[in-house]
Order: sequence, then C-alpha cells, then structure tokens
Amino acid sequence: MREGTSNILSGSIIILFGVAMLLEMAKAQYAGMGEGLGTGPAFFPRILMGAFIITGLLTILNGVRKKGNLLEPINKGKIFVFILITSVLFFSVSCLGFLFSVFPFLLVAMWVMGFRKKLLIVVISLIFSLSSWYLFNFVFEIILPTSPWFIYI
Amino acid sequence: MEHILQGLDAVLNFKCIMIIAAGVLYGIIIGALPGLGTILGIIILLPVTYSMEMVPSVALVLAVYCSAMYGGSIAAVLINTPGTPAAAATGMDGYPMTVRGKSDYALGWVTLSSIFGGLFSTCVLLLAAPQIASVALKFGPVETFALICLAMTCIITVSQGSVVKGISSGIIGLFLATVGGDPITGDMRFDFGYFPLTGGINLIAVLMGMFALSEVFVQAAHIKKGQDKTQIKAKSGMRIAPLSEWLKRKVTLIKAAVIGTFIGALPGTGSSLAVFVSYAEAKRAGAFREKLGTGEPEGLIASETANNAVCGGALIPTLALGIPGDAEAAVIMSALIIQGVQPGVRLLVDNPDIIYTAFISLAVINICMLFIAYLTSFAWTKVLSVPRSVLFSLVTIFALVGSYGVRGNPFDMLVALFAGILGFFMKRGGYSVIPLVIGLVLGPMFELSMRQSLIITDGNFIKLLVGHPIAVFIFVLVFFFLFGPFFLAWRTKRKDELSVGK
Repeated sequence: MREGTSNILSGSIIILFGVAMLLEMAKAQYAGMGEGLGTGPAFFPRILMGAFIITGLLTILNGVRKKGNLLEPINKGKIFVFILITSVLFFSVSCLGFLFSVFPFLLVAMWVMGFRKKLLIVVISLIFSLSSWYLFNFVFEIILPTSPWFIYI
Repeated sequence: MEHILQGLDAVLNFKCIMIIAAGVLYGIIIGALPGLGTILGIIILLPVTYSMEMVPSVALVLAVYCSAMYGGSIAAVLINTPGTPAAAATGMDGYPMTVRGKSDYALGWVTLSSIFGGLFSTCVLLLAAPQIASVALKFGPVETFALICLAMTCIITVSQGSVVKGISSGIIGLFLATVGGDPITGDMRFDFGYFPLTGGINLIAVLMGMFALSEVFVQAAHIKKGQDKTQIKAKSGMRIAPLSEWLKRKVTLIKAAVIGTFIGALPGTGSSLAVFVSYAEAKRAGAFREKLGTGEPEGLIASETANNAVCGGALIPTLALGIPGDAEAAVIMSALIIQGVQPGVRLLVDNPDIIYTAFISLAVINICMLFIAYLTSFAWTKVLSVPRSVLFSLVTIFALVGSYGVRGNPFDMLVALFAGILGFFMKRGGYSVIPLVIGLVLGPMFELSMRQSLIITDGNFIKLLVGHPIAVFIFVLVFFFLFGPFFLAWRTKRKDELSVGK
C-alpha cells in the first residue's frame, strides 16, 4: 500500500468515526444534559467531532494530492498470529486465571517471536509466570485474576 | 535559618538516612514496575509508618514519592513501558537512545536531570515557599485553562512528520478522555449502555497499550524468517555525559526545573502538565530542538527535570496551604495527618520546623537517589541482555499486569489490548501515538477548566481575557508557541531569498 492510499483510508475512518459520534450525540440521552449551564456535557465533545471531520478531510486531501512511497513491508503472518495470541491471553486471563493463561502464552509467544531453544522457553515461562504471580499476589497484594478451580491460582 | 538547622539536625543521623535509603530503593523498584505507581507504593508503606516517629516516617514517605517518580522513567527508557503518564515523555527520547545502544548514557541523563530537578525545587522551597504559595493561590480555572493550552501546544511540536496527523491523534486522546461521567454534571457520555465504560478509559491501560504493546507488535511485524538471536545493544550500568554536553543544554535544564517547581505548586495540576509544558518549551527553544523525539538527551532533561521538580513544588500547597496538588500529594498529606501533623496555613506559623524538616529530607533523598540509582542501574540494564524475542514476550505480561493492577478491573486489560492494536496501526499509518497520550492525560483538566472558565464569565470570551492578566500573558505565550516557528521559518526563507537576489 502507498502512503497516499493509507492517508485516504485513515482520513475516511476518522471522518466516519466523527460522524458516528455526532449521530450518537443526537440521541435523546444527550438532549437535556447540562440545561442552564450554557456549556453542558455535550459542548466539548461536539467541538471534538467537528475537529475530527476537519482533520479527516485534510488527511484525505493530502492522500489524494500526494501518492507517496510504498509502506515498509512487514511480516503479516507473524503480526496476525502475535495479535491473535495476545488477544487470547487478554480475554482468557479473566476466565482461566493469571497462571493458566500466562504460562502457555509465554511458551507460544517466544516461539512465534523466533526464539528456538525449547528447554529454555519452558524454564523461562515457568519461572517468570510463577515469580510474577507470587510477587504481585503476595508481596504487593494486587490480587491477580484467578481460575475457577483454585483459590489463589 | 534556625529552622533549617533544626531540620538538618533531625534528618542527618544514621537511622534517618538508612530509612531514606530503604525508601529510595523501594520507590525505584515500585516506580520501575509497570502498574504499581507512586500512590500504591506509598499506600503499601503507610502501615509501616504508624509505629515510627514523625521525622523518619515523613522522610520515608517522601523518599518513596520522589524515587518512584524517577523509577517510572527506567522502564520507559529501557523497554518503552512508562510506569507513569509523566514518564511517557521520557520514553520519547530515552527508548530511541536505548535502541541505538546508548542506554547507559540515557540512564545517566535521566538520573542527573531528576536529581537536579529535585534539588532545585528543594532550594526554592527553602527560600521562597510562602511567596510561591501566595502566587499559586491566584491561579483559578481561567489561568489553569491557559496553562493547559500551553501544554497542549506540545501536541503540534511532537507531531513527527504530519502536523494534521498529530492533531488527529491528539483529538482521539481528548475524545477518549470524555468517555464516562461528565466532570461537572456527572452525566454519562459515550458509554453506549456498556457498564464498564461508565468509569471512563483508564489512562495507565492506554499507556501500556500505546507504548508497550504496540512496540511488541511492531517488533513482531519486523521479524524475519529463521531463528531470532538479536538483542538490544545493551550497555551495562549508567554513564554520565561530559560536562560540556550538559553545558550545551543548561538553558533547558534550568527552564525545566523552574517550570516543574512552579507548576507543581499549583493545586490540581500535577507532574504530567509540568512535563509536557517543559517538553514543549524545549521543542520550541532548545539548543537541539530539531532532534527532540529521536533520542536527544535534551528531551530527557526537559521531561525528567520537570518531573522531579514537581515533587518539591507539590509540597508547597500541600504543607503550606493544606491543599494537595495531586493524588500523590493527597496520600502524603494523609501520612502526615496520621502522624498528628495538620497541614495548612497555620503549619508555617506554628510549626515551621516540620516544613523545613520535610524540605531538608527532600534534599537528602535526592542525594541518596544518585548513589542508589547508580548501584541499581547495573541490574536494570541486565534486562536488555535478554534476547529481543524473550524480552518482548515478557513485556506483554508487564502490559497485562500493568493495565490490570491499577484498578483490578479486567476491562482495563481489554482497553490495553485495543490501545495496543490501535497504536500499531497508527504507527503504521504515520500517526504519532504521543499526541494521543497528551490529549488523554490533559483532556479531563482541559475540559473542566475550559467549562469552569466559561461558566464564571457567562460564556463571554472577552470577559475571560480582560479580568485575568496572568491568563492573558499565558495565552500570548500559547500564540507565540504556535505561530513563532512558522514566522521564524518564513523570516529565514525571506532572508535567504534576499541574499540570493543580492
């Protein structure tokens, strides 16, 4: 993708977002807010929505005027897999608990990132997940999410 | 002078210095671990202070306060995971230095700048605390609004590449700050009927996503086929740049210390505002302004000096007026109340020795910080000797814990995840994520002070300017910050054209 196309795309997303939020603010929920105050709760967001639309238009204009260079190539497969496993971690930690999510994540993540020493991957994953779980739970007393099967884990 | 000597006598003894050293070490660790932060660090220690005498307990709390501020920058510099919002600015120049293999110098700049900021504000406190307190009281909503506008100019100056994209990014940040309860009426905005959004978007979660997770995704996107054995070129410990390098940046150093001390003294502002105002000023008038944001030590000086100067400044309204400037100051105030000290206007008159003891403690804390920071720097930089593939996998876990730890809310982890994905695509599209963070940090204060100002003046902008000379002065500065660079560029271009014509 060229920079110009990327600008047109991002500018369009910004405008769409601005318009969507303006429509949201047209709902009845916002109609009676801050009556008698002059500058109610909808005052500042409306300014922002206007600014969204203006900057979006300027970005599109910039993209149309200048095609620019090709964007730097990336490893699309790796980034897709990494975002996927990170999403699985962030969603699963509330249901499976910290230890049962973090340990398998580290095993997979290090492999995906290109680290190939299998034994070391297992050792690092185990030590790091256990030590961070102990440190936060028992030293700093930040209760991390737990699994439905155990009290602390 | 008598009170200063009393303070020296109370603080300079073996027991107190050991307590300060322990507090500094603990504070640095707490600050460097993402998700803990200054407030939690002090709160964890509060029960320990119950059984202590007044001077050591105050010294301990202040030691944690100052050193956690500094510690937040270590993670920002080494792994681009700022522990505090103010440290986000430090990461802008610190992390690029680390990537270039200059982590030792980056830590040196950060440490000495922090200590200079801390000592400068302490000296100012010792000499002029009552006077600063009286000026600070003149800052109402209009003046605060003007000051935040000044900090907002930073959005334009830190926008690398396209100013329009930088502004777009800043507006996204300002928008995210409006999610949740309205600051004046409490009405819910942009919650879309989804309960977790009523509490607003957590700033730390966004920081973890925008800086740490998006950086992990960028690293993943650039992995080539085959085994990864690459490491960030780690330099062990800390190195101090030669004096000549410091002298080249002395103006920024002094300006940042003054800005930090003064903004710290203003109730309800906090270190983030000071850091961004200072950074904007360095970007406008610094000796190396063109290089800021690319790994230039002047950026570290601007952010770190202001950040730690706030520690001293924030004690002025807290102790002398009984008004805690920010959440951290409020926790410190509660620690003092536990010890039977009631901060307020009478404290300066009735018990000035307590105030001066606190100030002397600050000076000792900063000196202690230099030694402990130097000794611990070897351990911190060891982190970078870990292979990149392992390091960034672990950073993902730090981001997870960091986003969850502040409120214990699983929703914040999802916020961090979405912020990380958004940050990755923003970076890919040439949008800087820093203006977004600035918008989100300053957004609530910006909206509140703007609307309060308009309510005070019945929505009349002229009234807003006429009755507030301090605000007018700051607005003039804002105008100069925004349009000065364009005018200077135009003048230079014209001069060049004229000389070519001749």
